[in-house]
Amino acid sequence: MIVSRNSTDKWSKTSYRTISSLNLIRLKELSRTEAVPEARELVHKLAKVDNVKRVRAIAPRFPDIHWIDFELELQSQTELSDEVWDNIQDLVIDSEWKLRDDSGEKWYFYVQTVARLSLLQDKTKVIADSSCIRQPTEVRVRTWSSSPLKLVLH
Amino acid sequence: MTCDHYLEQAKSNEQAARSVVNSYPDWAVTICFYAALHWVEYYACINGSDIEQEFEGRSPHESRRDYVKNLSRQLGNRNLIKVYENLEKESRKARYLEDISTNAKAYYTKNKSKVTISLQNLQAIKQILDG
Repeated sequence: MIVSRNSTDKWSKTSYRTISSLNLIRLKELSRTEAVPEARELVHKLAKVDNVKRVRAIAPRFPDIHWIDFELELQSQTELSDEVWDNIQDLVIDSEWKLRDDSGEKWYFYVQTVARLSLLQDKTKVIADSSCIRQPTEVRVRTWSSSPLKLVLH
Repeated sequence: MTCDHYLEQAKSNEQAARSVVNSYPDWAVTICFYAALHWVEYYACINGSDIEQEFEGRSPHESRRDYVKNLSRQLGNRNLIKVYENLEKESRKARYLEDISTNAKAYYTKNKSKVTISLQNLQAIKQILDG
């Protein structure tokens, strides 16, 4: 089930802020959609980019998750080159367009680098966090035997 | 009402941006974004779209970005959203000193290539939307 704008209207923001158990139920339902796994996979990919310390995906209009902001916290005293940033934009667009094609719905993924992750009062808006994601076993094994991803412009 | 006022503003902004490249490179970057913004408004207007009515964002900037995202997909041109977001990102850096530790004028005087890139990004927006 994908929660749409209409669903946002039905379930007022106030209700969702005050009934946290419903949030959890709704989040479990959302986890079955294509969007959350896609966002988690993207977080995982972005977290592998050089100089990226942590990545968090936030749905600012939760429970409507058609808008997802990806925050990239960088290692201190570092910045991304234009080439790496270009590749990050491509990863995000690839992911968003794939989801649009697969679901027939419109998705809006935004990525930004931040010095510090934003403070969130409503933690249920966090769709994925690279510091919490457990990878599937086969991926984990592969990662252990390979060096971190380095994005290179050819 | 015609759509020409958006086009006129876009052109005026570009002219203003070019006129301050050396004296206020930080403002050149910011004005490039505002020129691009009016190109987007012009394109939407001549194609019968009312961005703020059709895209319910947290701000007019967000509504416009959503519109550009859809347009980029519709045209199959990912460069459109990339350059638009880069112009917006650079203008935020220039206005709010995001991710920089000096004042914006000093930063862009030292990093002139970023000013040049903003001007190039504006050209890219024009080419895509005026085509």
